[in-house]
Amino acid sequence: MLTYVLRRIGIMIPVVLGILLIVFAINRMSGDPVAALLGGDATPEQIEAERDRLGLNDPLPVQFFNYVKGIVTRFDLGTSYVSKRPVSEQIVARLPTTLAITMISLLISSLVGITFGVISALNQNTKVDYILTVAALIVASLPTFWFALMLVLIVSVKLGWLPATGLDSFKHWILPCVVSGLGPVSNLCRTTRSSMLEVIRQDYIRTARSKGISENKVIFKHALKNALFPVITVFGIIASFSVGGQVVVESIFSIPGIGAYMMEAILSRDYPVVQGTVLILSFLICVINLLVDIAYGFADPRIRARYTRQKSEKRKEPTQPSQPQGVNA
Amino acid sequence: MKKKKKITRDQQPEFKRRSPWVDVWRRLKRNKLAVVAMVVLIVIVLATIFAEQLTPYDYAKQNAKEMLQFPSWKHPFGTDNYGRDLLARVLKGGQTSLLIALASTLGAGIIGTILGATAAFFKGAYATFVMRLMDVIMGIPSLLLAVCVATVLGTGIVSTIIAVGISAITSFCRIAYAQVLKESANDYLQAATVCGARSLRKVFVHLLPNSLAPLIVQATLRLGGGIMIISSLSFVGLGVQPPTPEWGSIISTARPYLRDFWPFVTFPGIAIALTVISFNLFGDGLRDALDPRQK
Repeated sequence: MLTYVLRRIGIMIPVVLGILLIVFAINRMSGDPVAALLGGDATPEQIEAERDRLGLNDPLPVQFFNYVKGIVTRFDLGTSYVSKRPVSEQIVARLPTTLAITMISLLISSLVGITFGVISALNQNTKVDYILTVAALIVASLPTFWFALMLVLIVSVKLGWLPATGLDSFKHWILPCVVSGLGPVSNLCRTTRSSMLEVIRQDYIRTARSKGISENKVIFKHALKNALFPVITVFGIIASFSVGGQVVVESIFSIPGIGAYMMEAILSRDYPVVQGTVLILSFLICVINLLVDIAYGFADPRIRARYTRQKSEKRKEPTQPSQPQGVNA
Repeated sequence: MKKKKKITRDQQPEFKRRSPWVDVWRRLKRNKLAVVAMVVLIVIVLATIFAEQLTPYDYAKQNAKEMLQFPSWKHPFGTDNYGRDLLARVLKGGQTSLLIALASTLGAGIIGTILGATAAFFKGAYATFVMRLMDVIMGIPSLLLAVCVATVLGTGIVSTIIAVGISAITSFCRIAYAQVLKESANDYLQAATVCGARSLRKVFVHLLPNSLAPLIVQATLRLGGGIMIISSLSFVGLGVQPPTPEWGSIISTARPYLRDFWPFVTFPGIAIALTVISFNLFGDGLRDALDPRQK
């Protein structure tokens, strides 16, 4: 299994480097940082000295190398134009909040989404199924920011049930988590439904039923266990959407997380902060995807078997017909 | 004994030659929701195209006497913070949103399809490079990527089109790649090779037309997704800037008035939701109609 984990990490490295390259390129294209850092009344000599100090006069590949080196060794994401403080400071302070909201909403929405998906599949082509499928589709089509505003309008302003901003008590967490969990719920519901429908038509389910096992056991022990594999794979995509959506959710509910930080930075044209936050959130998604892949490897006996067998039957392998190149690329 | 009759060309039993699109249309018609969605989409598109003719009000004309009015017969959606008719602004805003969504999807579709199709056909280092690049772009959430691109390009309609389009390229590229790879195994491609067709001709004349169905479905679904990203981008403060009306930017302007004046946020949001829902329903129906096996 270690081979599998290492290989997954190996696949992730070029993606992370690519993201770094994109953000770096955007960083260099979004105007001269020195003028913005020093303000309007800097002399040309001062600007030139600052450029030298920041290494902006080096060739671009050297700059990129130093940029990556700075991030890896010192977690240096640049300096905010507005506060003149390191971007990483704020990110470290705000990361736990963003992580907490994402994790809580993902956890709850997995439970709700998978349950709805199973219910929908077990009642295929009935009214329940129809309502759930259409509801999932409608929910997936609502823009997050608008849904958040409407919830604030109805639940907080008109009904006064829940507070609209901040994170002071348990009640404060409900609305943000509901909003960021909405997309995942609908996505998980649709995925679970279709994969469950595929599984319950399989022969082994018929066998299990014919053995006289209770229906609940057939569904939850035999069917659901196998139906969940495709659900694990879409989990990475869902997490990606959820993390991306934090920008909007946090700024609407005034939550001091990374997303809100990015939104403030966009409004004040504080580019290093925008790029730093994009980088961190993208990295977060890469890590989530890596964890999902590893979890999948451990959960799926087929992958587990392939990697444990490889060890014991290494000599046999070359005799197997190999796939033509490029098919799996 | 019956004499064997020679069948000449004109005596052949008549087969109705039906275009495959007729079949698609017949299957689509059976899906009630998809048809309703299609009608709603047509209405929305027509309403936004003829936005100026449909309402007596100018979307940009300010009226200090009628600020923040609630819906009435005179102003069905009410008026905004400058006394402009909200219905006129929502319709005009739809024009901007739909235009950007269409342009970015079309651009992304063309670029993504060409990249994916050529990668699948030529394989090798080029394919690896293209598909790895797509992996990297996929690694960044589309909204964040759009934010990133928009910080460089600045705000406005053209940069919004590019920012939204870039993140959409990946899905087209991957679908085109998978489709062309699948189609390449068919005999007709060998026949084309035997006839001496050149590589580019094989890709664009033989392989792509046969791979079109999933791409069309993807384009429909992407139009809906594009509208969401565009409006989110404008809401965040990038994308389309006020005073140009766009659904997201109207909601952004309306945010401070949320507590006391509900129509301002509600109506543009309903417009977005209705459009996106319709695109998704229509896209789903289209997928089932184009490829009945897939269901």
